[in-house]
Amino acid sequence: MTMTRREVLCRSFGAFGAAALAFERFGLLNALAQSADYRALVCIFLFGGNDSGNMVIPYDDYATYASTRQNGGLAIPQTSLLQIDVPSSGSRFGLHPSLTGLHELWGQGKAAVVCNVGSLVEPTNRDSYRNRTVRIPANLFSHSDQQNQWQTSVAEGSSATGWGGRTADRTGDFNATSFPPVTSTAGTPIFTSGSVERPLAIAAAPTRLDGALRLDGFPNPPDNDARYVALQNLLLLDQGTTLVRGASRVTAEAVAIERALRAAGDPVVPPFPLSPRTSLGNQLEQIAKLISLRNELGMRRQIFFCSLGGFDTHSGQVVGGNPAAGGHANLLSQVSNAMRSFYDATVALGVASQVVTFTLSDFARTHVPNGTLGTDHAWGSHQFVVGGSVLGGDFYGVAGSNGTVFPTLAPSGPDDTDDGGNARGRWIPTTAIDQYGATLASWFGVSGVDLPAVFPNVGRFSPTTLGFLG
Amino acid sequence: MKTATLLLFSLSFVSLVHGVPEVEGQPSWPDTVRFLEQSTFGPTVPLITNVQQAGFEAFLAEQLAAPMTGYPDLEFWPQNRPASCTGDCQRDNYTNYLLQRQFFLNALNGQDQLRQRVAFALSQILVVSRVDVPLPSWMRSYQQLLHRSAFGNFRQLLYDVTLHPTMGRFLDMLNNRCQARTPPEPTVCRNGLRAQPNENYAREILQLFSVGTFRLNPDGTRQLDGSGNPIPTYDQQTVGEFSRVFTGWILAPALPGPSGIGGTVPNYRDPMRVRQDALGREDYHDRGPKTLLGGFALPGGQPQAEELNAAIDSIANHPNVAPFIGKQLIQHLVTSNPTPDYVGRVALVFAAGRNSPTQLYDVVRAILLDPEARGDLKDPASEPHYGKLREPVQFITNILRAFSATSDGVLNSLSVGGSAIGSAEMGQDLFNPPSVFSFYPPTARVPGEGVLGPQFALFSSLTSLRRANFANRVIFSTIPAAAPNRPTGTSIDLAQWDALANDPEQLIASLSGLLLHGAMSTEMRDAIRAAVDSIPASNSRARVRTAIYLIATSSQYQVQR
Repeated sequence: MTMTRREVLCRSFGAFGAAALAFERFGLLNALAQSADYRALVCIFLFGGNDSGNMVIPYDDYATYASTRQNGGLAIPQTSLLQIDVPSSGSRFGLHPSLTGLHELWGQGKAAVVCNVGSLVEPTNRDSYRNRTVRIPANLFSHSDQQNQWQTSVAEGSSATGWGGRTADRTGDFNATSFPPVTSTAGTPIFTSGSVERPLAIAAAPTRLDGALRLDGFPNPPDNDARYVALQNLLLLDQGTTLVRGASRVTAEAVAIERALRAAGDPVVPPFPLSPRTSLGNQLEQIAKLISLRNELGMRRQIFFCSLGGFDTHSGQVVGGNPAAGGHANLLSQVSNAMRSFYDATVALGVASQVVTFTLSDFARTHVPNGTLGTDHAWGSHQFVVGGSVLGGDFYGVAGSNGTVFPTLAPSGPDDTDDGGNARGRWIPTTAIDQYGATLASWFGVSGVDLPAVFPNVGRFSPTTLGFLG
Repeated sequence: MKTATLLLFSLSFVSLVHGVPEVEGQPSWPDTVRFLEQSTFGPTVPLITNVQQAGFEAFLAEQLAAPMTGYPDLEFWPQNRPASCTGDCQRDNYTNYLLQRQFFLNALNGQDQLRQRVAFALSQILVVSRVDVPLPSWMRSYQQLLHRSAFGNFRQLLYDVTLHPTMGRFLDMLNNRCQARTPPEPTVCRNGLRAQPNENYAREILQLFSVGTFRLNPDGTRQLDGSGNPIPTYDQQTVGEFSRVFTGWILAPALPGPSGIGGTVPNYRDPMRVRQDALGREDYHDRGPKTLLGGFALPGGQPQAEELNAAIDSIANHPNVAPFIGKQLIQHLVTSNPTPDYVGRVALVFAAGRNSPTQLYDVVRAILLDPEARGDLKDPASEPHYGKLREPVQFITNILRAFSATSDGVLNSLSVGGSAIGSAEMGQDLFNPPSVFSFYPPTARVPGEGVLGPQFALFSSLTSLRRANFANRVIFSTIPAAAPNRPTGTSIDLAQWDALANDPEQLIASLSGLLLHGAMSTEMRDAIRAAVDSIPASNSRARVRTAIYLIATSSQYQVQR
């Protein structure tokens, strides 16, 4: 009988059981037939608040965009935009000139954009926001709070878990293994933590996969080493102390999985490694390597987390006099190249239609720039979704007052939180994080019945899912 | 001398296990160890015995008076590296290498331990980062300010931080200008720009440096409205108003360039100054009226420097500051989940010292001498959530100080034998936190638990094993010298411990006294004993190493309790 991961976690009190099982399973599952039923979600968090207003830009309606953005020297020239057709809107848009890789994927129908999505307690528009006739998310425009809300989908109050972790909680039975279903190359942010499932954090490339976790100083195999035995025994003790218990949980899993990963080797998945290497490229490379071992590890559902920082572009976002160049352009270039390469890697692995990659970010930035070639904190943002199952080449989301999913780029206009002559253009989201996440989680395998357990407030929004995955 | 110390140490432990105070009126061994875990970068046997004899009050007074170690002068170089500056020149003037080394050297050897510990805590509250501070000379001048101010007045510190050019650069108050408004109000702004003031510093000084996002009771708990919801301290409108106050500041006059290079370089040493046009007018400052925290109104038209003072007052006088900053200092020094009573007692001292030049010293003293901080043992049954996870830097320094390490201070970014074991690799890259939110959020929880454990944000499967690998490297071997950037490496000294190896019970008990203030459970002792006993008594060093490794890598040691 196959023991599910949840049963493993419930039954094994601590390190010993988990360690033995992980090792045994890894050996056992080499012999299992390959399963075609595999799905993975790959979350890319853009920390700091990506200026998505300069990522997806109206082309036909360029003047509306430029009239306010050019004051601070931030308007990307229309001639440099990478044009895209957006069938559902009936007009043309442009991508930032750094997004060549994503532009190609758009053309192939493998990339889509979810527009004006953000943290919401309930459906909100300018009137209800300004009159406070709806509840609004806690501490809007604050990095820490908005990052938290993007990762938990809970916009008021607090949540001890994230929607990545909760999605894994509800799909754990797919995996006939004790290998953790959530793996991160960027620490263990709340997105990755469920009530049952806890994230595994590993080193990014160029660290070898079989060294992505590493415990020095023991013979191989270490089972008969008295110090190794003692190390594991200690992880079971003093469980009455909360912080000690928490630390032992993390270390026990690390020690167990370190054993399992020793057998992983270091697969090469083209087109990785990127030249030159980048932070996000290295993370996605390691994720691609792990996906290549999905059958050996007995994985049928996996969630990955990686991230890139530097998006808090209050100043120096662009080069003075050359708004298509500068810090933000460099970041977008890295994102685009890494996402494009990762998509190609999934093609090489034969799982392109089984892996979906998507972005999250704190918030978008003020449409009206500040006086230091930068932008400040705003709200609703645009996010990219990439994969073979993405119904790409179009915008998705909930239509706002202008009848489209794309906001009206008018300070003090129908989508702005601000009012008056000094309004900054902080778009009120028409699409909730809950809907964006629910679309991904449903495709991944969370049943309709379980969806409210993953997204407790999704019932407040209509439709529940956004249709960008086939 | 060393033998005598060890003997004294062992005797101390024997009296500890029998529950007898060593000398009437002196603090106990375990409480002294706990006190030094909270107030220094790690207890050492000589320091424990000294503080036991002198008492906590005398130690604190001595620390207040101890000369500041700080960072040696660094020449100010041009922002863009001259082509001639390569190799050591580039490393020393364009990376944080020297500062990171000095940080660890000070932590390992400096006498002003408490000042360093508080300055380190402040550096994680009033944050700047290499992310936007590329020159170490700029970083140094800011860190010196934190060290100088660690025992000073908080309002003064907030003012000095606000005008420090390095903070000005990091959070964009530097060169922030008034903006012509629509409809135009020529009396407000003279520079004619048409955008909006930069909100960065205005938001973060409120959210992170002073009052926080929710109104607090004096004990740090949140105030609630009639519906049971927390009450915001300020809103976006307030942020906008402060962003207009914080306009008009530019760098002080340029400094002469380094010897051999010449010219002038940007002044990241002196406070920012008021920008004036050729007619002496403050043409970058927004002169309109503004409404600050708590409805405090600035009428407009006042001199820029006066407005700044009024704005800092409006922040520093807010009742949130005492519990907001006081609680974070408790969390950095003592425990992640202090009771509201503890926070309240500390906040009272904070508020009472508002005009004191030693306000922060008095606050730290209150934190460390509070009944909730003190005691020989925190009982898991009554205080299960007590303590804090050692952050990477403290994990490293506590081990090294406990075993009389000699070190070149190269411990931040460290790869030895292909294993990544420095503080940066454990998630704490000194002077380079990812953002103004520093290395870990104060809201992070203990994995699988409902209680706070901020430092757990840096404790993952990856970094947990890296901690173990650091312990393995220094305990079983050494961090060797490696040219050009690791001149001597790092080694601990276990010689005095070998003598205890033929008595495993005594060895483990003594290590428990030094590393776990004697709080090792019998089950933990038995587990370690089994591993030690498996090694022949003739191999005394291997026994010592095994015992130390197992304690240093245990969860019980990761948590400072």
